[in-house]
Amino acid sequence: MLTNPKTAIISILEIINYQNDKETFADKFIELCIKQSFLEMIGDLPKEKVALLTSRIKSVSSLEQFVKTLKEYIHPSLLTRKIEQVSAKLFDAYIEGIFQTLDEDTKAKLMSYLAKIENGQ
Amino acid sequence: MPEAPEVTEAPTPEIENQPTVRSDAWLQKTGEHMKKLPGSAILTFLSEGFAHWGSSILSQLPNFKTKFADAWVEFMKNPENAAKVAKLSPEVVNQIAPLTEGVVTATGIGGVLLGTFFGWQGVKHAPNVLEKMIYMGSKAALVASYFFAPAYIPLATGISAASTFIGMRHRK
Repeated sequence: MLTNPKTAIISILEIINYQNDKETFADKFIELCIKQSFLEMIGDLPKEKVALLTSRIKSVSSLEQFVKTLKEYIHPSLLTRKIEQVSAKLFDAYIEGIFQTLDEDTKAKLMSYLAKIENGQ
Repeated sequence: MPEAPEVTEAPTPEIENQPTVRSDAWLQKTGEHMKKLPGSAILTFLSEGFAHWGSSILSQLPNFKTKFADAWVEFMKNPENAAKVAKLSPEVVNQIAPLTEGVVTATGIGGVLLGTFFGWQGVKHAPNVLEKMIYMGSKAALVASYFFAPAYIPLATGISAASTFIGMRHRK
């Protein structure tokens, strides 16, 4: 069974002894993954379509309209795949970014936890 | 004989917690980088134009209570689910009621109620359970949930895949 991403991020922050608000960090991390996924999908569109989408979005007045408009340009199954790729990329980058700041004991605990995520525990 | 002056040690400077500093710096840098990507103006809708997402969504979903009721019936037919829900406090169950369409499926509601969707540990201590539970603090996740439910699955898949690569690189 897949590990809930917010739970996973908070657990990692606990392992590395992150001192600030762990929930806020986890929320922001997840938001980054999703926003970047959308942006990369939008970036893959031809320039004229991006311009058109941008101008159409400016006139929406509800989330429902926003999503309906986006759906005309972004296919759900492609977005799913994009989120998988982007979240893998960002998670990898984050872990590598902090890895060298950890002592050996913390690194070992982190690796052990990542193995659990890998195995769906 | 005069007393020797009291020797006071200079206060030691706080040692910065490097993982914390590096984590926050990474988050900020990644966020800044995203602002430069084409199409980022589109996402300002999420952060600036959608102040009252709770009420606006509810006003757009006249049938959500009916859908919730149907999905709830299906969900509770499974004795395991019923047993787990029985352990939840009434306050939590009542707060779950006004859910958005994005999670009004048996799986979504079940996941929310069981805490597997949004992380029960974090939810338990949240002052506003509903707010924390629905969006993982992320309006972007709400938008994603309109495309597919539950939204956390591709995120979880990505993190799981990355864990494999990281493990391969660092395992001794």
